[in-house]
Amino acid sequence: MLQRFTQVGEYYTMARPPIPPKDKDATGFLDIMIYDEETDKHCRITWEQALKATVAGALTGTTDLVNGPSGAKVPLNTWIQTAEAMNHINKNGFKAGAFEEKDRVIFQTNASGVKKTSTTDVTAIAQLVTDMKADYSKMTATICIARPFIEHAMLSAVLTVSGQDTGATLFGPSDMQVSANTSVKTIEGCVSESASAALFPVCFQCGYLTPFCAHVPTATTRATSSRSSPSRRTCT
Amino acid sequence: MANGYRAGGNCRFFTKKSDGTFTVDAGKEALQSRLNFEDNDTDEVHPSLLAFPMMEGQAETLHNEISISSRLLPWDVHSKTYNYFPGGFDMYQAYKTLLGLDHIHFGEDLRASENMEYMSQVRASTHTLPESQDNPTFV
Repeated sequence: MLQRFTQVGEYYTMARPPIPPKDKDATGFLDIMIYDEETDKHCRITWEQALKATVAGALTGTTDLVNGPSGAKVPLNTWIQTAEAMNHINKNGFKAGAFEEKDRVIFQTNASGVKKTSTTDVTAIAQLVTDMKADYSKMTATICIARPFIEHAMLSAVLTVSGQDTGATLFGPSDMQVSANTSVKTIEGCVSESASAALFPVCFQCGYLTPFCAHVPTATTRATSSRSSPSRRTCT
Repeated sequence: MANGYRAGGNCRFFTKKSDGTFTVDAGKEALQSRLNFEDNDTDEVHPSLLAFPMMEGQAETLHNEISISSRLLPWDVHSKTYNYFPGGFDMYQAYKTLLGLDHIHFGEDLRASENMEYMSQVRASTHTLPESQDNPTFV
């Protein structure tokens, strides 16, 4: 069998649970558990860890985030502030104290990599924390965790169905060739040396296959590169 | 781990340094190392996770598939936009520069594509008919 190193990817979305935690002291409700194949156990990804991993403070240029199919956009700084406020509540519960500068985990940097501290941001985040405590739906930031290169040595197999439901071969031997087309990640099948009834319907008037009878228009669809077309034959 | 496992299934972030901090440079370097599969003959463990900002409005309507490479998803080809990158097109542009996402290849055999060797793995057709060819359609 054919063995190849094959990669697959997956992603997870970290977001507020649909129902707010009943316990106002609850923490970690924004964290997720995902499987670690190397250690064979589930690992907790905390909101703070994921927030830091976005390195969002280093993003430059036009960095508005799409917010829904309508195309509405949200500035990146708004996302950072919201995510920071959510992190504060996730770590300390809904009874958390006021947000302070020391609670920040994402810092925006200038071109030289120097942190830009803004008291405006801290005030805005503190206000967001207050708003989120009153209105759970204000927690609108999410984080997409992508695991794009999961690689295994995999064997290829082709499973097919059989029988006349798949289209009967009415004449000649069939030669089915299967090949992997890596450019489109599909397996292609090619039938040659014979025509399948699925491709050439039978003429109701004479019983011959339509490419070889005069009762029907000559236009047919050939999905395969079979050998050269036989001469047309009338059945009258 | 599963039999045949090679890499990419752990819970380490590309952007995380060994000292526990998260930096862009660490992410770019680790991503390149993973794509090139450097240190493959040692016990080097490559990170697996990337994190992207996203708003709730997009998360609720996100497709089952996202593309973090420069290859568009089939339904994005017509509009040529990265609608389904987390955060949208602006975020793709930003992270492409930041982490070198445009270096991600598609697992495509470019040599075979350029030479149109789509059927290189199959046996050649014989192009012969059986001797007992009595089918009237081939007369």
